[in-house]
Formats: sequence, C-alpha cells, structure tokens
Amino acid sequence: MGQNMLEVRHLCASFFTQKGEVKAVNDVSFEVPRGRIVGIVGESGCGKSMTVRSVMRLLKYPGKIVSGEVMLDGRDLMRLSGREMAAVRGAEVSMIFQDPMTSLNPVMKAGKQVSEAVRIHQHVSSEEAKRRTLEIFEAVGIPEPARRYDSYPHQLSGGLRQRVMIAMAMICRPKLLIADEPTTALDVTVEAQILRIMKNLCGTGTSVLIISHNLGVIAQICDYVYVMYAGRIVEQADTFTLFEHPMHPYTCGLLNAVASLRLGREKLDTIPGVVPNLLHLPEGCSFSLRCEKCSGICASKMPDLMKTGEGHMVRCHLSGKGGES
Amino acid sequence: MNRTFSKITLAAVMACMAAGSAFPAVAAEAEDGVFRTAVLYDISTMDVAKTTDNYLVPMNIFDRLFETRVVDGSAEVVNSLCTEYSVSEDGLTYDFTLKDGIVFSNGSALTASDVKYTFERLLIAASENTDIPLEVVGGEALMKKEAEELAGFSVTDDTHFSITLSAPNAGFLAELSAPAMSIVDAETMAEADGFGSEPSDTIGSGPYVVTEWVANDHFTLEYNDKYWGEEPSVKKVIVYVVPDASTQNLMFQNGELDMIDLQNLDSAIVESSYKTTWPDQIITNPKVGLTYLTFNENNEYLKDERVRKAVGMALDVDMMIESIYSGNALREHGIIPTGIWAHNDEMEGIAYDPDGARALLAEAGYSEGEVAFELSMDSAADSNTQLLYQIISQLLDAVGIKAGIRSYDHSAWLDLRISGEMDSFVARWGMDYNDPANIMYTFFGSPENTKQRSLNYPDTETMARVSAARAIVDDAEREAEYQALEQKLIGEDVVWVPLFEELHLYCIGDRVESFTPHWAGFSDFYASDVVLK
Amino acid sequence: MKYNILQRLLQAAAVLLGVALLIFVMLRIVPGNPIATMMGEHADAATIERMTAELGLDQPIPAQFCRYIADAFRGDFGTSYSLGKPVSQLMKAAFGNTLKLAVLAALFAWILGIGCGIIAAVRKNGVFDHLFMGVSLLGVSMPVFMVAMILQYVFAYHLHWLPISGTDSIKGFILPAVALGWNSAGSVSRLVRSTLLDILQEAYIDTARAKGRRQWGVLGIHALRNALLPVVTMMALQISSLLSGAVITETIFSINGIGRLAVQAISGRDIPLLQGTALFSTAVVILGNFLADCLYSVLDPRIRKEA
Repeated sequence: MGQNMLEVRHLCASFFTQKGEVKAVNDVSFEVPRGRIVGIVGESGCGKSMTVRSVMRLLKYPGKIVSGEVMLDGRDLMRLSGREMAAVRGAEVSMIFQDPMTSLNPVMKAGKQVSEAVRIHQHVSSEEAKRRTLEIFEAVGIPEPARRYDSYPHQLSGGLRQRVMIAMAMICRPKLLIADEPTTALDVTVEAQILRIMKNLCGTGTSVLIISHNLGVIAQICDYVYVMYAGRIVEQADTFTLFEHPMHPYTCGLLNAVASLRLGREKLDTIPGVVPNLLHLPEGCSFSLRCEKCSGICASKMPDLMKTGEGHMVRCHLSGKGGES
Repeated sequence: MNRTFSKITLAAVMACMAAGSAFPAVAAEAEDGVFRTAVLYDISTMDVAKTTDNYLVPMNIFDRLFETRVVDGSAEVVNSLCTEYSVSEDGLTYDFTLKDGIVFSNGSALTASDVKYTFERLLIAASENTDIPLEVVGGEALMKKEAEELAGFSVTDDTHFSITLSAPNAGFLAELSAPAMSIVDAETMAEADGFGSEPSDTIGSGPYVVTEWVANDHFTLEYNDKYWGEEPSVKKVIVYVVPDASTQNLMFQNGELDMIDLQNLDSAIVESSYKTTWPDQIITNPKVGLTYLTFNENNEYLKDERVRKAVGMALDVDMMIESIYSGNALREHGIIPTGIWAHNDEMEGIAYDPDGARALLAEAGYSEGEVAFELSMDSAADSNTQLLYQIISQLLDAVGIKAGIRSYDHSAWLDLRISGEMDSFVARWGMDYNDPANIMYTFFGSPENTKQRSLNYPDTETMARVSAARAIVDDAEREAEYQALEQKLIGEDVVWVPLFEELHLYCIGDRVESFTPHWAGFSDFYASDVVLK
Repeated sequence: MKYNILQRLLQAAAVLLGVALLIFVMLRIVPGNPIATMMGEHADAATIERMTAELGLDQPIPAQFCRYIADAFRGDFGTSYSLGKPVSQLMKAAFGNTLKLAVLAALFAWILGIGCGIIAAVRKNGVFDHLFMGVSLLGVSMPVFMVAMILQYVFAYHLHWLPISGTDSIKGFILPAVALGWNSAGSVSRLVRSTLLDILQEAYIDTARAKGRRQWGVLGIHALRNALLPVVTMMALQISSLLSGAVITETIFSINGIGRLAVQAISGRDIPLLQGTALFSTAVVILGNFLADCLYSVLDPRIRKEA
C-alpha cells in the first residue's frame, strides 16, 4: 500500500468536436496523499473539472479520456469495466458538485437520495439506510434531520442542500472525496461552514481533492495545490510555499489579482488577455501570449515541469530566474 | 450495454411475431343458411311509421296485403295476406278477404282489426307515412283528432273488411304493397312501447323476426317458424353496419359478405375489379326513379320556357351517363321513369344541341351571359351527384348561361327547397310503389306540391288534371291521360330536364345461388327471395 | 387540496352548463329544419310541421332548455332522431367501445412511444435513434386513415391474423388501436426523447451517476420521472381526445364509438344526440385535464401545495 490514495499519471482527455480534437486535459499527473486535502486551482475552462470528472470516468459527451492511469489506492480505475466502475463510484470515490440547486433530483425526497447511495452499494434494509442517513445528516450539521429527510430539495436552502450533497457523498465512507467548486454557489458564511465540515471529514480518513477558482478557499483548507492552465499543470507546491513563493507568472498573476481585491486598490490587477482557444494553442508555452516576461524561447518551446524546491515544481522557462515579483 | 439493447429489441420482435402467429386465421366461413351483407349507415328505426327509407327490416319481418314482385321481367302487384278482393263500380269501395290462420311471430292471430289498426296508427301516431291512409274516407278527421276511428274502414269479421276511398285511385293496390303499409299487431302495440326500436317488441308476421339490433354495429334477422309461406333458403340474415366503403370491399373479397351493394363502392373499383373478377356474379336492376334538373318558374329567366328548353338542349346527358356512371344508367325523357307501368317509351326528348340552345336564347332576346341562376347543391349529395353539378354548370357555361353552383348544408338545402325559393337543383326521386301518381302527383299535383319542390309551376289547370288522373278507374284510359300530361309538362312546358335512371349493381358471393333485387332497385331486399347454394 | 377539488368540480359544472346552453342555442338558431332533415326527401310540409310540434321544437327556446336540463339531471337526454333510441343508451354502448379503443390505443402509444423515446435518447445518434425517429416522423405525419387501411390490408385481408372490422371480440380492437395510437406514439416518442436528452444534461443525473447508479438505474429512478412531467400533459390531452371518439378509425373498422355517433348527429342534425355527444366530450376534456393536474402534482412535488 503506497502512501498516495490517488495517483493520476499522464492523463489526457479531449473533446472530440466537429472542428477537431480539443485537448482539454493534456498530460496531467498529480497525487492525493492519504488523509490529505489537495486542491486544483485555475480559471474556468482550464480543464480542472474535466480532470476530476476523468477520475470518476464521468465525462460528458463529446469528452473522452484518451490515455493515462488513474490509480485509486493502487488500483487502476481506467482498466475497470463499466459495472466495476459503477461499484467504485459513491463507495470508494464520491463527488460533490458546484451547484447544490441543480445537483439534487427535484422530485425525490432529500433523505431518499442520500439513503439511495447506501442501498446501491451495501445490502442493508431501508430502515437501516434511513438510520444511517439520519446519522450522517446529524454529522454534517443538518438541523432536524428527521424532518429534512422527508423534505424535497426545493424546500431546502442552498447551504442545506450542499450539506445533503456532502452527506450523500460521505455516507459510504469513501476513500476519496472529489469536490468540484463546492462553495461557489454559496454565500460566504455558508461557505465557511461547508469548508469546516469538509476539513472535519478529512480527519476521519477520507482524502479530499478539491477544485476551485477561488484561491481563498484553497488557502483555507488545502495541504497541497496544483495550478492548472490551458489543460496543463503549470505549478505545484504545498499551500504555504505556493502562496509565499509563487514561481510561475500565471500563479503570480492570480495571487496579485486576489491581493489587489483584498487591499481595495482602485485598479484591479488582472492578467491581461484571455484564456487561449484550446483548438489553437500557441506553439510554445501556453501562457506566453499573456505573459509579461515572455522571451524568445517561450514562444517556440513548451517548457517542462521543473523542480525548483522540495515538492515544488514549475512549468516555466524562467523558473529559478526570479518568478517572484 | 449495446448488447443489452439488441437483446431487448430482439425479444420484443420475437414476442410480436409469436403473438402474431398465435392468432388463428380469422375464419371467413359462415354457418349454413346465413346470409351476410353490409350497409353504410345504420337504420334509424324498424317502424315504418317513422321512416320513409329504412325499409330493409320492415320488408322482411312484416307482411303487406299485396306485394309488388317482379314477374316475367315486369313489376306486378301480387296477393300476399289478401287472397281476394273486389272493387265497386265507382272505384271507391274495396272488399278484401284475408288468408286464414295467419299468426304473428308471437303467436297472436292476424285479423282484419289488425289491418284497421295499421291504417289508424299511421294517422294517429307521429307518423311520416300518412298519404295512403289519408285517402280513406274519414282519414283527415282522424288525423285532426275529430274522429275516434277511421270511418271508411269497416271490419266484417276476422278475415273480411272493406275500405272506402274518398276519391277513386287506380293505384291503390300498388300503394298497399308499399313497405309503409306493413301490417302490425294491435295487441302487441298496445303493450310494448319499444316497437320499432327493441327487437323483442317489434312483432310482425313476415318470413323473419328481428333478433338483435346493436346500433351502428349490426342487426340480425332469423327465420320465423310461424311464417305462413314457404320456408326460405336463407335462415338467418346478418347486416353489418360498415360505414367505410373500402372496408366493405375488403370484407367481400375476403368472403365475409355474401352480397355487396356495388352502389356503395367507387365506380372505378367496380369497373376495374368487380366487372373483371366476378362478371357472372354481378346483378343489375334499374333503380326505378328519375334524376332530374329543376326550374323555378318564379325566377326571372327561368320563367321563360325558351330558356328552360335551351338549358335542356345544352345538356349532353349521354356523355354524363358515360363519364360519371360508366354507362350504368338509362336515358330518360319524361317524368314517369322506366319500370313504372305508364312509362312512355315513345316520349320524344330534348336532343343535345348547343348551337340550337344559343339560337333559342338569342331568339328569346338574351345576350351572351345574361341568363344567370344558381344551381343549389346539397353538400351531403354523393360524389357522383356533385360531379353532375359540375358538368351541368360547365355545359351551361358553354352556351352562355351562367349557372354557378352553391353548396348548402343538408338541412339548409332542404329548408330552401321547401320554401320554394331555390332556382334550380339536381335530385333523384325513387319510386315508392309502381304507380305513376307517386311521382306525378308529388311534384305536379297541387300548387303546394310544386312550391315544396321549388318548381312553382303556374298552370293550375294542368295541376288539376294531374290530381284528377289518380281517380281514373280504367287502366288504359289512365295511362293515356298520364302520357298526355307528361307530353304537356315536358314537351310543351319543359317543367324540368329529365336526365336518367340509374342502374343498381349488386355482386353476390360464392355461397349464393341467386339474388333477386327489389323491383325498384332499392338497396333493401327480400331475404326470402335469396337462394343459397 | 379538498377545497381545491371542490372548487374544480364547481368550475366543471359551470363549464358543462355553459357548454350545454351554447350548443342548445346554437343548434336552434342555425338555418335548416332538423325535422325536415330527419324525415328526408319524401316528407311533406304538413308532416314536418306536425312532427316539430310533437317533439316540442316549436316551444320557446328557454322553455325547451329548462326541460332539457331537468331531464338531463334524471339521466334522460332525449331520443335520437337518426337512430331511434334513447341518447343515454346509445352513448353508453358507444362509450364502451370508445373506452376499449382509447385505452388500448393509449397503452400502445405510450408503451411504444416512451420505450422508443428512451432508447433513442440513450443511444442518441445511434442506429435505433435514427430508426425510431424516422419511423416516428412517419407516425406523426402519416394520416390515420392511411395507417388504418395499410394495417387492415396487411394484417386482416392478407395475413388473416385479425378481423377486418367489427367488435365481436377484443381482437377486433387491436388493429384500430394500433392505427389510432400510431400518431400518438410518434409524438410521445419524440417528446420523451427530447425531454430525456435535456434531463440527461441535468446536474442531478451526474449526481446519480457519481453515487454509483448504473445507466438503467439513472434512467429509471432519476431521469424518467422528471422527463415524464411534460409527457403527462401531452398524454392527458391525448386521452381526452381519444375518449371523445376517433371518427376515422371508428369508421374504417366499423366500430360503434362516440366519434361516429357525433358525426352522425351533426350530419343528420340529430339535436338530442348532438347535445349528448357534445356534452360528453366536454366532460371528458374537463376530466382529462383534472386528472392530468392531479397526476402532475403527484409526480412533481414542486407544484404541490403545502398542506
């Protein structure tokens, strides 16, 4: 048994559209150590959602996994049959989604949707499933669990719905929880509560992979962070290092934007330009078009991920030459 | 997953096929003695007092005093319940003798008082057939409830009675053979209120009893074992209500019908399929009656007899018969149609002569396109009649007469016609009994009658003669008078344009030896005349 | 909810009464004497007048209407002019047939339509999708009489599997039900497919997959019930129209149903029968909509009123 709960190696996933193959996830490798919280951060469209959906093998048409390995606790999920994979989902890996408003089935009672997860994977009676549902409702801080059990999603607030989602994801005590922007749709106070719950869960032995475009969320709960840009990992480091010593110009840009927001500066520091069209990526570094420090080599050659420190890797020709600003 | 789908689909297909082969082939075999046929519309009643055209059931379950049957190729009045009769010198009083021992299907005896009751009921009850009993002395009074009984009808004993008419009518016996004069049982009628609608309450003395009537579905007649006459070959008649002609066609081709009324089918199918496949099984009979084009003499143009004659000359009737009816019609030139005893074979018709028509219009002082009137069409008319209207309108246009077609809803059409304000229309009159009065008197017997048909014939003298002709006792003299009147009405006055008499085609199935249509070519038939193989 | 039902019933009664009044008045002001129509070519004016009085049609319209409503409450809708039997009795017999036909047609249409719709949606752009959608386009666009005649020719006339016409046994209803349901099956399958495709894009479908449901479980437990919501509305409209009678199918297969009865009533200006069938159809449509609403609130908790 290795020390990593999840190891993703050289994952490539693409959308096959009429205009051609869109490489949304391009040779991505990362790992989630046991009992840790790992974050993936990036702008929307950078491929982070696609990456975690690939782990669940839940890509939407016309998305497809092209190659790569997804080792969950030493087992390659890519080699499982559809039936075996279904048995893994919800039991060993579970996932919560961005919008709790639409992630619950509107015509099914909340409790039923949670207990359903138990009954799919374990042969328990409906009474037992209900008992366990009420228990986990309690655990994720849903007040009056018995009443909420019989509520329909539209009768619950956003925060409660996300708690129900977490309950649903956690009820089978999975090895890995994937959270795709779990708090984006929620207001700040609720966000804090939800993050606290997730952090607590981590303490019970579940590893967590969280993706977000919100660096604040990442900073609050993650142990280790991957930064994604245009389908590739551009920088990875433990949370402290990343925030204190960012190396990649993109990471720096992100942090500056947040800092300027926090300090209430009049002019918001933003990264110039827009995310490039994945169909027409520049020949060299994907970020070269927006990079202030772009030099000759950047436009012609894609840099490799290079180790710059303990557990710190950066995909930049300039790394080590003072990425810090 | 793909395999699962394929399996499910395969299973579904197999299930369908298995289910299919599990259905035994539907048998077209019929029991012995059963005769099956179909009608397009259900009957509305089995009671002759309440209908003027639903005669199939009454013809078979009731008897009349006389019947009109085809004897040696011509329709003749023959005795039925009546064995003997005599007429007084003045032609007013008839003495009748009934057959002995006749009983209704419920066992009660048929006597002279049942006959009297039959006459009286037609006048008292809400009846559509009052003409015939009204001719009897006291008929009017009874209908207006001024009298208790029919004064001109006297019962001598169970089998003897006499009838006195208020005016002589040489066609009286023929009238008595009309389905309307079906003899009913006075006692049953007093008890049962379902007469005419409930099979068990509808009792007659005829060769069949009606055993079942499922509205809009079918009705069944079965042999009446108390029937006084010869036992018929057909023991059971099933009449299906099949409103779709092509379904009838399939049923016949499949052997599910023993006789199909070809009038129901498209003439193209009859020509292409029936006349080639079953040429020997097609039976043809004239539909005794007349199709005519009327003129309203209140119309400013149509009141001019030269215009009326020009219209007649503009119409190529032979072409209509050929093109619309595939030749299945007889050209007619008068009022009394072929098959009625006073019909005049020598009648000279108006020949097709479009140039002559133009000349005649010019002579009358009308310019091209000046003469205009409306051809009023009943939207419920069959497709052939609708086509007829089109052709007539075009032929008239060719000689410079503007006769536009306007279509009316059936009720509105009837209303307009009865009001006497319809310019012109095409219709067919089917003969009810073998007597010229049935058409002559109905259309030209009185100012009221000609108004109801939107004719408004102004010659009261001629109308009086038409009415009086009914009373001529001597047959030869009467025939001469009718033919003279016909000459006057058509030859001189051109009251309408006689067109043709349709032929009625039937096709019989392999189980049928012979089928004798009604003498007047009704769709209704006497089942006792059918012989099965 | 109880209050709601009561309110709906009162509304229904008011609508029925209004429709009754409307039909009643309209039938009496349109040109054309129904009695003349009923008695046909050979009737004379005096007889027509006598019959009009006999049937009470010469009375003032308000008096006639009051009598009609009073009789109707006792279940007496008068006697048909064109079929000579009590309207209630005719309608009862016809409705028996129409009900059998409608239920079979609906079952056929819905089972086939929903089944094909699901398969087409799940295998979007697959062979079955193209096949079913092609056939369903044919179903939607092919006139019912054509379907009916083809079925009649192939299965009854040619193969002798089923009767050409008639309702002696339930077998006689199979071809008409298929012919009648064909159209509905086409539209149901297209609606099911498009709704299901939309639903399958919903986030809660991902949730269901993420918790380990396999394809059929996702479909059956999560997608279908949501996809059925708009379909139920369509089905309610369909069953209302099926129960109001299907003239063409009934005519081709010689089934004595409400549709034929209504057409017969119209063409024959059969006032009692026309009133009866029109009222009946109104009632069926009201009932159909009511049932759809009830079903809707069972299926969709969002529109259920808080108790």
